[in-house]
Amino acid sequence: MDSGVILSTELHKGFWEDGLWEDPHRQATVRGVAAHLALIVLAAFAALAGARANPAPLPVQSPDVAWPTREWTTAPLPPEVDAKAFDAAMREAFDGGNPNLGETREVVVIHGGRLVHERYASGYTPQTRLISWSMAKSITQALVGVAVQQKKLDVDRPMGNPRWVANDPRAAIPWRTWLQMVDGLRYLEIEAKTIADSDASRKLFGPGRLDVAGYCAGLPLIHAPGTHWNYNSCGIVLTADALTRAVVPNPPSPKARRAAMLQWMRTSLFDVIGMNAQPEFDASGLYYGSAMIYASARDFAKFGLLYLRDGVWEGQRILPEGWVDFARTPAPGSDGNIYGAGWWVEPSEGAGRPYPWLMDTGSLRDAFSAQGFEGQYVLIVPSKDLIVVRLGYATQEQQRTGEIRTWMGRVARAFSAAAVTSAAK
Amino acid sequence: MLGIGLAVAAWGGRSAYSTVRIGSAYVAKLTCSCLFVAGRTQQSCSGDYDAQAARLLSVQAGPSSVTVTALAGLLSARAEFEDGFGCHLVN
Repeated sequence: MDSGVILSTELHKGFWEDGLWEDPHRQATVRGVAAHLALIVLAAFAALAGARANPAPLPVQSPDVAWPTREWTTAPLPPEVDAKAFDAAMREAFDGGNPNLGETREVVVIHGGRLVHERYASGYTPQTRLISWSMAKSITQALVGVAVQQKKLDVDRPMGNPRWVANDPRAAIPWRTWLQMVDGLRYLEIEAKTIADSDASRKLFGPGRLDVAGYCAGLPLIHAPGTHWNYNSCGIVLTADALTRAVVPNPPSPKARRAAMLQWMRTSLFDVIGMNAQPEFDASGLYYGSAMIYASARDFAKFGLLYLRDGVWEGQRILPEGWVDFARTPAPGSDGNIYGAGWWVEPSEGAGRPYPWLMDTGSLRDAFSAQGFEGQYVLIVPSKDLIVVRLGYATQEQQRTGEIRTWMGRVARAFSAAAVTSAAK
Repeated sequence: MLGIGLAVAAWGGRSAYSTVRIGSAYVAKLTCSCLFVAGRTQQSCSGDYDAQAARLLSVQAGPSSVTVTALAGLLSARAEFEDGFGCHLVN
């Protein structure tokens, strides 16, 4: 057992399980000690990170292909594609061949930086902007990266929240840890039995609906930070809240706050890549961060291309060097292997921990993806120089069958790894 | 026994109320964005909710807002659209 795990085990047993936390007289001391120990644990994990294998290389944009800032360059499906399998998958999605796929509304496929296929259900057009749901988390990871690139913040420093006192252990958790969802807060979403129990619906539409970050800041810490992965939308809301403070430090009103933040989001990211995105804001002027960005499939594909091209757009570095690798690498020392930072990743082995989230995109497990409720996906496969966007509507039952994920994998597998060679020429 | 029965009923009632409260806000916010950001029709938008649950709610769309009422008007949720900022809940 490595030192990081021993330390984290001690932290866990010592502070969270033996009742010390119940004693109000000792809480301040415990918080201070826990915060320091948590930082030591994180430092140990950061040291372990260097031992991990490098992720698959990200293909560069061919000089022959224009960047899609204004519009996508189109091309036919490359000859290496298994057209029979590809067409069968599209028919199944759009012509109702498989009820477990729900309603497929917009599909866009980008190969070698060119749009090689798009299809829309009746009533939807290439301009129809649909909801991201949690794909917004991947956009928030990008926005934090942009702020790092602009030297507005350091992701290895504590993120904090004005609702927490200085020695609250939550205040010591760095930005990085929140984005990786190994923060340790008590948050229930994936395994919620009813919408009344789910923190996801409670924060957006229940008690938290007018001040989402206020709801999230009230959640208690129950695991030593850095050790336990749990899908925590609230961590991303708190990140959006902290990012907004870094960008707009003292807004005079909620309306001024959202106006200044929207302006920054546009000039720093959306306008740069030509994405006509509509982020939404709660009544406190906070952009939700974890959900609620509307965009078309073509524009979500542009966002995917920014990641496939390692955060570089038209020769300009938008995201810091290594930011895409941070997005697609599970937190070192975490007990999960299906989530990086703001992005889902293919598990390095098996079907995935703690949930079987494998998409099976082909021989290499290098794919990573933005995923949202009701079946929203931006899938990126570097080894095939491929992006597949799927927007639509699937019920919880349909999502639970996992067939949309399998379908995404099937579309990717129709592209042979050899196809990347022709795209790169 | 009566005490326990009442407690269970109260808990069940609270949970049901909270479900309808969340459902109303959900439908108000999502319908507002569906109409004014996505530009879809109200009929298309109503397909995004469980039809059985939606029968408990009354949805009224104005020129730039959506109001949802439930439980015979006891409960209402309202979302407003502002150009450039999408929709947000106001109550």
